[in-house]
Amino acid sequence: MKILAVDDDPIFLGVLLPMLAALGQTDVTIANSGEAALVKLSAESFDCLLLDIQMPGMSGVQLCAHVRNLPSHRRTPIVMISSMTGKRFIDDAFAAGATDYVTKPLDPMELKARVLMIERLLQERRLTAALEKKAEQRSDAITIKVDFETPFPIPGFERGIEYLALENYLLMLGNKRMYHTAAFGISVRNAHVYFKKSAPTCFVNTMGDVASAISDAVKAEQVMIAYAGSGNFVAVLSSRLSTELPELEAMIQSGIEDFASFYTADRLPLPQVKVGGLARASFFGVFNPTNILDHAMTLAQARPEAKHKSWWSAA
Amino acid sequence: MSGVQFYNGGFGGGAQEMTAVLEPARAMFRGLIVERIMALEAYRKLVQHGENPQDELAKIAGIAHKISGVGATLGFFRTGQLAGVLDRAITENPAKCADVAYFQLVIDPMLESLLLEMESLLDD
Repeated sequence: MKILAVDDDPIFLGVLLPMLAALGQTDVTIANSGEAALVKLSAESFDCLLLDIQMPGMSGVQLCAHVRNLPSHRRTPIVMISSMTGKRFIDDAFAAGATDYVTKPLDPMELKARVLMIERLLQERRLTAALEKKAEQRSDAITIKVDFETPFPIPGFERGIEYLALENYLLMLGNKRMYHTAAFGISVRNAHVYFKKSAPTCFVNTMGDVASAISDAVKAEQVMIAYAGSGNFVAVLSSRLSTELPELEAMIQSGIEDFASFYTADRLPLPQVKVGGLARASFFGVFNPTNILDHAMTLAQARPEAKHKSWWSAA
Repeated sequence: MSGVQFYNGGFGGGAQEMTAVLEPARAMFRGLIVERIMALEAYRKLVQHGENPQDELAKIAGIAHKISGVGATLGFFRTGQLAGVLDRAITENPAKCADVAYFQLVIDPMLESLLLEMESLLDD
């Protein structure tokens, strides 16, 4: 794996590089500032970026946002490394496009887990790269493999982050800060129709149309959204929504109707969305922070009369 | 080598191997202690005299940030911990910390603890 490590502290790099080498990662390029990193990124391509957040000049978060605008590194895994554990820093990093967040001082076992996660992600990237290429061609004649259940990054999803990044964000927040966090699901109720009746590329494009309508509807909201697979999107918010959920659902559905002519031409029904109620973490019991995502999606898929008995609360 | 234990978190290869590969970074860390103590003392005086306190505080936080980022990994647990507390206190509320009275009351004792800890490393 070709890694670019960016940190202005030579001592930290003196710690990081031997740790990476012990994990078999020896193809590491270093840059001591955000500006120097951009120069290197314009000249060559990397599989993974490790960015310090607090650097003089361009911060790691600013660099991350710049990198996400580079076509060559739009999907490159970016791990932020910081001694800052405040929610503001974590929110800013993931909102700028970070894939993961590791705190200093570096725990070698944690670094090992992150490197393994990135290697897994890179395998998924290869699939995504193929998907994007096919999606651009908009050709149904080409066969690509997409699992209905598996989350995949949706090309052009402006407000979206990857599902894995969303999970990492919640894990970083930890249980304590989860009490201030809520999530809601957006389910495409007839997603299976597109998956069964049309080519995989068409399914990806349909989810892209829904993602576009979601991006427009949540433009004014502070949310992080990811496609979670099976026709479900999930959004995490840390402040109140300015729009009521039923209104949000209507806005998304209205946005989808802009694509109606394409669906009529293809003799396919329009995607029908349902926005679920808010899922919040309970004050009782030990739980995994990512459970809130599952619960949000369950609420979006549930029939109106269905009741949920769990230690989650739904507002 | 001193009897300091490196933090290797159960990393494959064992503590001794990790200790050896991190020794150059550890030597760099030790080599910078005097320089960093002098810099922290100088910035502290400037803050106390109210000369660009925010800028000088940012410099103090910058040094503390670097120390906290590697201290524990290199075996300097207490130094890293104290530096982390100072770094967070300044970074999360720079405007408040720039107030000389608040600095004297809250930040300066943190800085003093860090300086004493760093000085103690010179005796090892």
